[in-house]
Amino acid sequence: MTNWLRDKACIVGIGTTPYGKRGTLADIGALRLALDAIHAAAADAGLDVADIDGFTSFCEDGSTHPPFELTMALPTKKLRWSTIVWGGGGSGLPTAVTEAALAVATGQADYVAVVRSITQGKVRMGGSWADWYPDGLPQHNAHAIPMGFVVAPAIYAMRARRHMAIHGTTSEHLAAVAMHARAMAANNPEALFREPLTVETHQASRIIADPLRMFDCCVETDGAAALIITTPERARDLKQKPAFITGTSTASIPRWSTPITYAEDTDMLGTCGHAAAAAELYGKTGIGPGDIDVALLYDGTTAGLLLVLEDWGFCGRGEAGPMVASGGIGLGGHIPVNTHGGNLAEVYLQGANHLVEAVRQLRGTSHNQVKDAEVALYSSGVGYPPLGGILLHR
Amino acid sequence: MTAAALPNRPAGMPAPNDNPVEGGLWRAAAQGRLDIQCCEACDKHRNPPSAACIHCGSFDWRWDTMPGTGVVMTYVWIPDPARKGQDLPSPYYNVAVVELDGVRGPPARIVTNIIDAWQLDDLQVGQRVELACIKLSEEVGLPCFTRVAGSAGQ
Ligand SMILES: [Zn+2]
Repeated sequence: MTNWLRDKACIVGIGTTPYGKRGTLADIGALRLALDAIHAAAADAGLDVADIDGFTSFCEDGSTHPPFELTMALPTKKLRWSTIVWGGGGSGLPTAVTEAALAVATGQADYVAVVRSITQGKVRMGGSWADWYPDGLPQHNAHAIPMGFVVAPAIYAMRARRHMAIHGTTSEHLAAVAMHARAMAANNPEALFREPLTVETHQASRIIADPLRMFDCCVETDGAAALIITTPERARDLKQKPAFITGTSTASIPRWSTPITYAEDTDMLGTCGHAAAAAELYGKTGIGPGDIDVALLYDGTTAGLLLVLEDWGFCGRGEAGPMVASGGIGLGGHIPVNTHGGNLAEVYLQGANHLVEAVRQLRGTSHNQVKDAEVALYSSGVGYPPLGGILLHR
Repeated sequence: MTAAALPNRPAGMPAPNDNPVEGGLWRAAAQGRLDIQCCEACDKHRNPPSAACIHCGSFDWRWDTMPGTGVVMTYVWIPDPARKGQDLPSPYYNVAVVELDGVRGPPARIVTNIIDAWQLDDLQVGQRVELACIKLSEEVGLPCFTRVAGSAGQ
């Protein structure tokens, strides 16, 4: 398997806005937040914001402001690259980064900003889908919504239930994931949910989609993050030590696999469906789970995080619960995970914040620094193709 | 109506699409049958309904009436906000993925409700279930299921 992209692009700038709980930044708006994050990333890189000539994003929704709107409020000299990932929802970040890396590596653009901005003022992403489609149900969900499959955590709850039945995973294992996220967030001043969590509080929280409870679900927040991608040659004239893109993979199970009804192998039902992405990325980079120093894993729910640990080979099938409960994803553990607090405790930016943290780890500037971190993995959400992973190194 | 006879269904869900591709499933359910698509070219079943075969790409299909039995592969319980203040056996409805019996080709599954299950321990992975359709109108219905006695667990 070839890996043409290896080290042809790197992340040279990261920028975030202050984060707020759901709806608190709605008056500022997703457009302004995106602009703030882009300016912050340019300043971090030591780059004139006017030189950014490409923009890409993922998860087209009410918060998305395309480059023809962004550049109405930027001193952009040329707009040479404007893409958003086709499908994928919150899982689309690896494809967005791939697009940006390909654009700069092939000379289509010089500096591409990957940006994700979210405000949940009017639309609540964690709310019911039942009334989202007054003009008829979309093909991908038409068979499931009439049955009440209308909340995002149910995507993960279905897979978690199967995992519990087959492997004996428990709700206490899920609690260990949530407690880990809070413990990491406690040291991260930007994180929104920094109070410690106990098993008792987790177990007493209300059911959202059993087996998942409130503290199994990601936080509902507002904010934005941006990352600037360019070539290693251009990076030499910039301020930061680059985070090189070793490779990416965007290999997905075909179809909207979320309610897991299609011809997905029975063995896949209790997984997060990342096995193909993992095999491709490890195969073409020659890097394996044992070579990774820190993993930033999309955690739409605690269960999703547990299952991707197995998909990406950090432990065997069925072993993730006990591994997490015994401290395996902590700073001194088998594989340090989500050192910023993740979607569960820092902010919900669909992984853009995870990628920012990956860069911080490789620069040595995380609030929960993994000593001498050289290789970082990002893996995306589940279900909604394209999904995938990104390997970075310093 | 006693609690046991009451179907456990979420309130206020949109009706299914009654169109040329999807309608066969919902129209059969109004008549108490489970019909799913079978490809005329490769003779394999599929569900949910789609415009062409996910196994071979053919646009030709027929509707096959299935036995209407299957196994719960996984399920979730979701609180129904519309139940506040109502005297129902449980605040939760379930959504289950049932792998269907009688399928040719790779497994075909359906997202459904097990309408006689109310309490969190009323369902298990491996539970056998049988068809119990709910009529929404003269034209369309929902292929729901009930538990087959004595078959709980794997
Ligand atoms: Zn066929």
